[in-house]
Amino acid sequence: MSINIENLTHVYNRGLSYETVALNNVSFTINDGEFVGIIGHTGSGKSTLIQHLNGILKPDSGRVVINGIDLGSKETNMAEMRRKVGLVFQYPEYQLFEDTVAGDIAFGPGNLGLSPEETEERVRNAMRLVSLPYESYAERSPFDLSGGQKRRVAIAGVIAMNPEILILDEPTAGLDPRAHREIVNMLTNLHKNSNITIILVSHNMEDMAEIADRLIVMHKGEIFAQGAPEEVYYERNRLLEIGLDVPQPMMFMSMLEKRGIDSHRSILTIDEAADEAERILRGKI
Amino acid sequence: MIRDITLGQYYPGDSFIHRLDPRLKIIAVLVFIVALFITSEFYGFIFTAVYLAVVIIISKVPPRFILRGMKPVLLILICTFIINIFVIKGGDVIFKLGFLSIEQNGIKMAVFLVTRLVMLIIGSSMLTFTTKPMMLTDGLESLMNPLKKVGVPSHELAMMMSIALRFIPTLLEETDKIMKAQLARGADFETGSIVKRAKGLIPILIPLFISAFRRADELAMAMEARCYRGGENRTRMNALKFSIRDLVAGAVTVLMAAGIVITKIAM
Amino acid sequence: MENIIQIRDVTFDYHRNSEDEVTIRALNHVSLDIEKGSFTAVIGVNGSGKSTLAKHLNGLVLPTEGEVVVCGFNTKDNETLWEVRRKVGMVFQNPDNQMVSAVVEDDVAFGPENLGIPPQEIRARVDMALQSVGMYDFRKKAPHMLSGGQKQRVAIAGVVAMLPECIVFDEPTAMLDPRGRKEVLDIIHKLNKEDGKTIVLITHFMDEVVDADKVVVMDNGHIIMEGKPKEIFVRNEELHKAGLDVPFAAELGSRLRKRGIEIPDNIIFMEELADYIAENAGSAKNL
Repeated sequence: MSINIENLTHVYNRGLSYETVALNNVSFTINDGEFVGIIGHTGSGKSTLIQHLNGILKPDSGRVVINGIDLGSKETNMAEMRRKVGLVFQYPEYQLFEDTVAGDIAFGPGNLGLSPEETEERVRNAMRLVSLPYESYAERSPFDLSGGQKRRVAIAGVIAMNPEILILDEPTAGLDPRAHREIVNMLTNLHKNSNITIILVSHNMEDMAEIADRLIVMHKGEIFAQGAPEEVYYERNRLLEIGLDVPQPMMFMSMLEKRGIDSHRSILTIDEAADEAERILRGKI
Repeated sequence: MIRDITLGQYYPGDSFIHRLDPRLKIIAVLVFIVALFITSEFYGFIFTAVYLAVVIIISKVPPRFILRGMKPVLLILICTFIINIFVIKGGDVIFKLGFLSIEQNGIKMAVFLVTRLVMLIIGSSMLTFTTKPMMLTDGLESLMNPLKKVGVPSHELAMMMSIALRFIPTLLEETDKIMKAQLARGADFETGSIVKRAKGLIPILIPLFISAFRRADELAMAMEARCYRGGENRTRMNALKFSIRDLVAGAVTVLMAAGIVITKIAM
Repeated sequence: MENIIQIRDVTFDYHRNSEDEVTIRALNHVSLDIEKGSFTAVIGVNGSGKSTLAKHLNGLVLPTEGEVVVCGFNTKDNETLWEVRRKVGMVFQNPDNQMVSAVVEDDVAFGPENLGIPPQEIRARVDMALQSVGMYDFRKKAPHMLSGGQKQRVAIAGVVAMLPECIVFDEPTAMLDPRGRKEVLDIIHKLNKEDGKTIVLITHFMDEVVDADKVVVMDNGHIIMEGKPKEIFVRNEELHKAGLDVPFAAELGSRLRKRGIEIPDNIIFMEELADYIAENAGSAKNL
């Protein structure tokens, strides 16, 4: 499904002394099946933005149009839109409440009024997509699992709604490197094996460089830059100026540049950096 | 949304009211509440209303902020009003439809009761709006200290209250987050029968309780790590001191109460 | 150098819940010395025992076997437990769950108040502590109005105000964004370098430990490696096996070595590697 954001503005605590403009006239488009990364500091408007995409927050002005349907229109079936746009919040494991993994994942499908067979099918499918084998995990208590597993159960709970757009707000926050890797791999596979549009909010620039098709950089409630990761990160000085990081391979290339070795290439992954370093060292510039 | 609840929060400021001794403020609120309840005539309310208005103005807490805190109790107020208007009888009949009738006393009582409740809520919220939770508990602890001799754990009670106040905004934010997350999974909190709605709260309450217990556990450990071992041998950074400011405020409160008592006797 | 903390052959077992008969071994014969004034980083994935180890350092958890001695006091000794906790302060992962008061400066005062210090001195210590973490201007604010990094700085001030000799940080940056992480790490380094505090930093972020004096790697309740960062990061295969990453420069160096290019294995900083590549451009020596 495609997303069209037109001149979206959102203000918190309007009229109070601590009024804040969280989004200021933001417009962009996300195409069907795209994997879009959103980066920016805390307070840059990212979280406010994604909560507009399934209608949890309402715009103060501007429009959110999903597949041609205006979320602000009175005729729009919001329950239906919330199903189509799945939203995984930060630390989603804190929303788990059932005593079995399968039971918790079934909460969403259950709310859709599906038959038990269909619900189970959804649960199995969602568990497969987050790489938690049904046979060994379905009947376990989600509270006995590791942090990374709990989080995957929570993500499966949203995937089981069969969303056409999946939005994740910092799905790797607070996880150790092992669990972090599991989530990143899971997202890569999910994107490969389904045609869901994925929107990922993250501070991890290396992850973004690795998996996103396109990046949107938010700064002070506005879009600061957007484009393919290699384009966005190529202007690393602009990003560094507003205090954002760039992927470490890119950072490394800029250090080489300072030492007079300019490769004029956009290096995003450690493998590309290794290729480049090898080329330089072997003198094939 | 739920974040709008301002009841029990502290509104940072440095006004005359903010700087008053918390013990005085607690006693003043008690006097104010008693005054509200002995008032049974319109004239009595003038004293409490003026007193409250002056407190609000001096405190510089924006009325908008105070009113926002009233939102959650609005429904209760409306119900109280409607029930009273129909149930209390006496005086001229103003409106009659079948077995329902509104009589003069009903209107009077309904207006009185709602006014009383509104002032009660605003008055007691003014205490929390203008008093840092730590000061509030210090005040309570100090007022309850004489009761220690009869076995009342005044320090522990005060500490519990202070922690509860500290965590109100955190837990409200958390509730908001969990509600949004379950909403995103198709939960419905707004339609259906009472039983269905009550059941709909389970996906919010269970995660909220789990999280509250986890927080409590971590907080207990953090407090222990910071050498907390109850009220024994504890000192305070801001020891409570009664100043001229407090005398003035105390005198005004006494005047308000006296005014009400006099009108009551005179009427 | 004098050791401020000695961990001697500590084993810690616990029950998952009260009815459960099976015990779980969180620490398995762990021994470690913490030098006064040093910066020690403890890394490991969740469940490796690193947080349990941290909680042993100020007697929040007592060893099942073995002992922990802090400044000459055994943490098992009830008489001196409060002395141990005053000397070894602790900052936890979730900033929200370690604040007692709804006002910043009152929260910082909480520790000194528990120590029974006179009011004027508490005031002085609170101001000093808030200034040292750069949060003095926020002293009247409510914690929920602050960013994660700011809250964590207040939590650090709360510990600093108790004038500890050692501060244990239990994953202090795990819940922070990059900006908050940097703020907190800068303060931790400042406390070590300028104020001479002994630091124990528990983390799973590799780039946070490259500046440490000593790195301790934990896996499954054991200490599997201990040494200077440069000694640890060359062992990247073992680190990967323990579920950990290696800092970028060390990882890139090892990949280049695998391709048959000579890169000194003591390079762990990006700047060092960039220097080396710039100097040796076009003259790669095959191993």
